[in-house]
Order: sequence, then structure tokens, then C-alpha cells
Amino acid sequence: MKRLAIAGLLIGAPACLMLALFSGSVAISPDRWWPILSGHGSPLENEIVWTLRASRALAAFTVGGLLALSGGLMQALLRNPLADPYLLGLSGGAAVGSLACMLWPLGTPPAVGATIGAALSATVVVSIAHRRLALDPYRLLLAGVAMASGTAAVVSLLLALAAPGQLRGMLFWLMGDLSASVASPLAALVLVAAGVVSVFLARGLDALALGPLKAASLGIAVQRTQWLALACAVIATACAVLIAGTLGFVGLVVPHLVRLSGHHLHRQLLPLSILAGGILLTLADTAARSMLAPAELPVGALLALLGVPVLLALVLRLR
Amino acid sequence: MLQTRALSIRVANRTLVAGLDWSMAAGQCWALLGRNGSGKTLLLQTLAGLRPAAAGDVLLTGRAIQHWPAIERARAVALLTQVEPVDYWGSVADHVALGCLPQTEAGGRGATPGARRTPGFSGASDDGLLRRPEVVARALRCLHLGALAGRPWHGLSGGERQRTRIAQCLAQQALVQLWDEPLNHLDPAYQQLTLDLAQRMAAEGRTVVLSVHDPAAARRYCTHALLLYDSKHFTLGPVAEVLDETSLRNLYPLDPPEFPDPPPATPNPAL
Repeated sequence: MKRLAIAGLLIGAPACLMLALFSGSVAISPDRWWPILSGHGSPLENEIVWTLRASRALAAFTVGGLLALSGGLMQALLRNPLADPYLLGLSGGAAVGSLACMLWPLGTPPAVGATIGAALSATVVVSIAHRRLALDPYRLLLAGVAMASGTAAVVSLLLALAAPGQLRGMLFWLMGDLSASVASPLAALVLVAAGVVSVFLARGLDALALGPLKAASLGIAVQRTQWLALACAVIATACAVLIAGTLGFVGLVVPHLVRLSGHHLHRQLLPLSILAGGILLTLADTAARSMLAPAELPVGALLALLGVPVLLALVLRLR
Repeated sequence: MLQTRALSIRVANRTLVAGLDWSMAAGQCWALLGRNGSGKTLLLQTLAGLRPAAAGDVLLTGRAIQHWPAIERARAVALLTQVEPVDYWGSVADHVALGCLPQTEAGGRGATPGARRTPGFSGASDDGLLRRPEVVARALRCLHLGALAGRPWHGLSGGERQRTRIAQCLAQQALVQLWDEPLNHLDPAYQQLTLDLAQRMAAEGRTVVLSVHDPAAARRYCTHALLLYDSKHFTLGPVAEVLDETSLRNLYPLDPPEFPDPPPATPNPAL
């Protein structure tokens, strides 16, 4: 089962990217796939496949990997299976910043507003959870929930103040949207760097599952492990939010799905979650733009439709 | 091996231990006895170097324990904690293998440099270095957990979890073993097995400290005992000298019990 899961993910990653290249509102027959892949496609085909779809598919894969990695790290850090990348109020802070920029355009792009909002929110939550040089998981959880509630209220107020013409863009951003996303080398770099750091932290994260005291008795530098894991999770989430808005369920569900395949130790769990998250979001985005083409569904809503039954099935399997 | 000099432990403005001078040599098995809340757990955590002392020192082979690098300290001292989170997602074998972390963290490749063959629990390869899978397998067998190795840890009973925690301490291969209430949740057979193991580890040359509530077990399995009466009063020494009727009466005074009010003699007709 364990090897099967690894093989499935290693094959699934390029397969889903291929599917994303050749699916969409413009149909491309299979006999044209090889000429396009080998660089002999028509200008129109090259434009559609390489400029539009490849860039978006890579963006989707990167965002999925970032969110799944962040979810796995947060679940380890908080020792809570319900932890997800947005628990620190990052998505709420980013949403407030972004919507405020859409509502009152002062020359600041929504992405910059989202960055400032996410950073402020994470700073407040982490400052509250910081106790005697270590992070208190319960404080982190409660401060994150409080921040998420507060920012949700501000988002509601901003939506109420918005003009009808602005509402559609705002709602798509809130639900998560990859339609305007392009592959970002910086995000890919963040994904690789955070993934590598996480693998180095894996043993410490395994020991932290037994609590900070036991982890320290096993020689783990608890505070360093916690802070590095938190930094990786925050940066990965912020990157994902900037590219695609707030996409739910990937960070929550994917690490659990990987655990179901028998990979509990973080040195396997985290890299496999990156692959699984990338595959899941790439498939969901491909479905979102292909199912009712040329109309496009918000990928966040589609993920929620898929994620809720998966999460409920996971809950039923627990004990 | 392990020594305290004028050690004081305080928590929330309350002094639990004051001025404790205690020397634990290799080959000794100590029983730590005291009433609930007397500071046994905090004393063990302080001995393990995981908690700062309010005053005084803990010395491990003559060097203050807070000056030991964390990984070196973990190779030398294993602590069985009383409470751990219940949501560990890995298997029983994964849980026990975490005990090998201090040995593998810097040594790498699953080998435990410097850990030489000792009789009893330790597993050894031809060159005398301990290999991780062997160490885990041996620790599992010692606690009769071999058949449960692949089972998810969260599905175990309380007693099975306690045996897994003890097996993890064995896998840590430390020369000082500090076990906080190791008999919790164990049935009488496994209590005896655990105490036998502790006794044998001490006989092999390790220093073992057990926090227990059973004076009879302490008398039978331990060589020495420390009795914590209150923050300033304690007795320590060989079991035969320390654990007598008088000291136990002083340690566990029998206060007149108070019971809840008895039920009414006649049932309430309204019910």
C-alpha cells in the first residue's frame, strides 16, 4: 500500500499536468498531442497549450503543493488533525487587505493588500501564542480562531459596502480562483525551499507529536523546530493566497489522505502531501474550467464540494 | 553518575524541594516515594535537565546537566513521562523507534556509535554497534509488544500504551533511566515485568530511578529509596535502612476519612 501510494503520486503528477494541458474549452485531438509537445504545433495551439494552460496548470500544482505542505506542518505543530493553513487567520487577513484594495483603489494592487493583511494577522496571532520562548498550541489555536472570526466580520462589512459591479470579482477571490494565475518561479522556489526545510525538521516533528517535554527528552531542539515549521507554513500559505486567493480543504484533507496510505512519519508525509496537493488542485482546476466550458466554475467551490464528503468519510474512519 | 547539590524546586511560588543533596551511582535502582503533589514528577524532570532548578545543581558525570548539549544529554538520560498526547498517528513500532532518535540524529545510518553490547535488552551487530531495527525489535519483545508492532498506537489500551512508552525508553539506551510512575495502567503481571526490567537494567550498570506508590514493590525491586515528606524533609539511603514502619507512617499518615452524607433512610415518596 505504501509503495503503491508513492508510485501513484509519482505517475499522477505528470499525468495530471498533461491532462490540464489538453483539456479545456478548446478541444485538442489526441493525434495533435505529440506534435504540440515536441514543439511542432500551430501558433494557436502553442498559444493555448503553452502560454495559457501550462502556466495555469503549474500555478495550480504549486499552490496545491504549498497548501498541502502548510496543512501538514500546522497539523504537526498544533497536534490537531483539524488544523489547516488558514488557522492563523492568514486567509482572513489576506481577504481583508485584498478586498479593501478592490473597494478603495489607491493604486495598491490587491496582491499587495493581501500580503500586508496576511502578515499583520499572522503577527498578531503568533505574538499572542508566544509564551516563554515557545509556542503554546492551545493559544495559537484559540488566537487563530478569534482572528478568523474577526476578519470574517470585516469581510462581511466590506462586501456590504461594495458596489454591485465589484461584488463578482470579490466573491471569486474569496472562493479561490486560478483564472488569472500564472506560474510563478518565486512560488515554486518557496515550495522547494519549504519542502527541503520541512524534511530536515521531520524527525523533530515526529517527536513533537509526543509533546514538547518528551521531544526535548529525546534531544530535539523544540523551540527551533516549532519556529522553523511555523515560518515554513506561514510563508507557504501566504504565497498560495497571493496566487489563488483562499482555497479551502486542500491543506486540511490532503495530509489525512496521505496518512491513510500508511505514511505517518513526516519525512514521507510532507513530500508526498506536496505531490498529492499539487495533483488534487490541478485536477480540480482542470475540471472547473472544462466541465461547463466556456463558462468557468470557481475552483474553490468545486474543491469544497469534493472536500466535504472526503472529510466526512475520514471522520467516519476515525476510531 | 547523577548527583544533586543543594537542589531546590519551586513551582507557582511554592517550594516543593529545598536543599536536596542526592547521589545516584551506576548500578543503583532508586525508588522515589512521596504523596500526591509532593514534587516527584518535577524532580524527575529537573534531574533530566528539562526544567531549571530554583537553586542548586544537577550534575551528570560531574558536569552540570544544563551545560550538556541536548542530543548528548538525551543519549545519557531517558525520561518516562507520565502524560503524553493521545493522538499519535503512527504505529507502535514507530512510537518505540522514536527512542532511537538521540542515537541516530548525529550518528546517522541507523547506527549508534559508542553504544556497546550490554547483556539483557540490548541488541548488537558483529562489530558491537547497535542497529536501530534490532534495538526496536528487542525493546518491543522485552515488553511483549512484538505482536502489536504494526498496530496504530491510538488504538491501544491504556496499559499497552504504557508498555510502548517504556519500550521507547529502553530503545533510547540511556545509562540513566528516570521513570515517572511506570506502573500506571499496568496489570499485576506487567507491573512485575516492568519492575524486573528496571532491576535488571540497574544490575547491568545503569542508574534507574522509579517514582512509585507501592512501598512493597520498592522494597522488593529497588536498592535505594528517597522519601519526600515535604519540601524540607526527606530521607534517602539503602531500602533496608530507609523503608521501615515509622518512615512509611510519616510518609503516608492515615488521616480520619471523610465520607459523603449517607442516603436518606426512607425513599422520598415524591420520586
